[in-house]
Amino acid sequence: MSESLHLNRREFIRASLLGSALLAGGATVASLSGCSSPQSAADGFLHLRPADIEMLTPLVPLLLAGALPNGDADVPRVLQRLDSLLDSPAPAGREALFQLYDVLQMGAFRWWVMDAWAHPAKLSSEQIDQGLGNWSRKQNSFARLAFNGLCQPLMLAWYTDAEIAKSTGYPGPPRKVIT
Amino acid sequence: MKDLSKLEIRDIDDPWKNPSANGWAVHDGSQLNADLTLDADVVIIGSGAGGGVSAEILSQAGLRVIIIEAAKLKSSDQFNMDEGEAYRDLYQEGATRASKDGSIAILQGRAVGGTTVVNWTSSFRTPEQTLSYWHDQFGVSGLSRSELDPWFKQMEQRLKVSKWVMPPNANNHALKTGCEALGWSWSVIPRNVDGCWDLGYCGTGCPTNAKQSMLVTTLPSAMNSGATLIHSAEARSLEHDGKRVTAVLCNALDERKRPTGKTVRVTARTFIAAGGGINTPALLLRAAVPDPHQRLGKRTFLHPTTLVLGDFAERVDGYYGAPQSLYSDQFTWRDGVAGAIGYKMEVMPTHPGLITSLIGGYGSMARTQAERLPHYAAAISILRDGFHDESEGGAVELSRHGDGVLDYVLNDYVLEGIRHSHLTMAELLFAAGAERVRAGHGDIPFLSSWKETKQRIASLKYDPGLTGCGSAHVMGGCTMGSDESRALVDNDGRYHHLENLYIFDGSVLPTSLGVNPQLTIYAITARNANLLANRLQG
Repeated sequence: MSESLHLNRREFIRASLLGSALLAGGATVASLSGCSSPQSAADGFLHLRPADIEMLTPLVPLLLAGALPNGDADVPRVLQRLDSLLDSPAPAGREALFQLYDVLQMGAFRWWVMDAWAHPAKLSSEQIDQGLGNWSRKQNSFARLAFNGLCQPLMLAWYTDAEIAKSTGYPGPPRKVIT
Repeated sequence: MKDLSKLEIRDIDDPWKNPSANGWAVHDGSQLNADLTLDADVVIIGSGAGGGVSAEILSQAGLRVIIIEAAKLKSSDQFNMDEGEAYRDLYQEGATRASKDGSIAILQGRAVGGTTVVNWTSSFRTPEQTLSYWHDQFGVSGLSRSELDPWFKQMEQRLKVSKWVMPPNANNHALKTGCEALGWSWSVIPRNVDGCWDLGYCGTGCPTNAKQSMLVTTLPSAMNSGATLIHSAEARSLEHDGKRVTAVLCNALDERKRPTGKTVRVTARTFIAAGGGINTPALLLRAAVPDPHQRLGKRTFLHPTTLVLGDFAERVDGYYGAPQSLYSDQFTWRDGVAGAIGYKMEVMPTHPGLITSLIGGYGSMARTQAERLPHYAAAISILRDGFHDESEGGAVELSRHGDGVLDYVLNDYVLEGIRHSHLTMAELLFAAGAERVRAGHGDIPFLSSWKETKQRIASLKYDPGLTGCGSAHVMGGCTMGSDESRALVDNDGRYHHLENLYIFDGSVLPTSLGVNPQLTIYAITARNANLLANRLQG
């Protein structure tokens, strides 16, 4: 996607005051920015698009640091579980999340929330971690809702995996035996 | 508590194992090869607390009843206590439902049996203060303490409601210990269970059928009385002429909850909407029913629910054992009925998916928190919304796809209550012996002193995106009352503007309750369904 949209930070913050409506079903960021992500899912996925996968792949090891027993090798499994989770929301709820993924494709948005214009794939782990730290501490409601939108589905998708659930010290449920 | 992962649950009788062998008429929408058209005396849209009770009463009265349910039938043989599967199959939007701006996570059931299949069994009568407020502020009549109590008694007997006599799990015990240390009141929760194994998996579908949900009580009873169930069929609209409803139109849904292209159309003399908060108003909005005062979906309440975690040296194992068995009303009416927002304190179970997604954060800090999961007590407060001019609740609207979306803004009135409840629960957990406590706000870590926690909470910015908040109780949106300019249904649940449409679910409540809502919905529905049965037979 091109980064032809040159908003300065103040303009973007002003734009983001409309952000809740924007995330919740208003005009897509893609249409605002004059560029658009492919809308079709990547091969092997129900919903996640190639651009989402490209963007999430470098973020997941930082977002789920310590929770990936096989390190980066677990990222595809995380994305598959996230993709399965995203099959359940009503279409409007799913669209809101994809608008967040779209807005994350914008350098201006990343600059605002993470203090980093570059795509996550071009950032070091340290830079991503620092960027996520900045984002997680922002005192702006929209930015924080967006941050939760990024983290919460990943946590729910990952910690409902039986093996990962047990890594918290949870022994697991009883066994149901059907006779 | 003992590790339950080695326990085997076997020899549980599943009443839905072979419906046809019981002589039950069950249609699975996902398997329809052609459009289906049926006729009934009464169609009930939704099979939860309101739909289940209605179905039993009306079918036993000899009426031909058809129950329509969007969810796919799932019953105890399939309740394997897997968190992820349960959220996918038994919760609205796979447990990802949220308010429009994303600030409030909404846990609401979507099952044959509705939310009763996944709730935590707390069964309270509607508080006297709430009933009086409805009478005084909304002109609700016929629902006074003395008039409703016989219906409460009937439903408590029907659903085996009684105070929990087993020892509380350590999570609930912390609430008691903290309250006693601080001189606050607490009491034992009545639960709708029969032979409960004290496992802790109410939220994933009771694996032993001890919970007296609609799935194992009123719905089998209705089926035995000749009712028909159509599951995997989502009601999308009502045919009406502005005076009477003539049919309900449904989309058959596949395993992934997508329309198959096949439809179900049911004609009837009487229609009961029982889809619960959000879904019932959304159906009526889609159907463009008469709503001259634009009240549909308005005054939808959530009991905004706040969370504080206490980290104890010893294991709490809050995912095991009856999830809710003790409560405190110390702050439920802290400023009277209609002053600052009051809240009931309870605890919530601590299953890994639920807790890690609710406490927020990311990376190594989130992981460090997750690894203490067995040591957490999880106190919650349910805030009584709807009793103040600044607490009008949210409004249900339709997305461009026609689905219900709740626009609910956490305003300063509610945010003050969130902060207050954080302070109260932090104090409670320190008093109970927690070594560290964390309020459910994104800008505060676990802290080891009450003094510092108190100071930090007092100085935090409270804002919808910064503080965590959830809901497991969706109420209102089709307010009952005698004043047609403010209410959509009368005191008996009949829609003011369509003569054969009734609403028997939590959406008729004029405010939130101050208690977990299931028993209120059972009792009001039992009253109104009996009145309706008499009317239809008369």
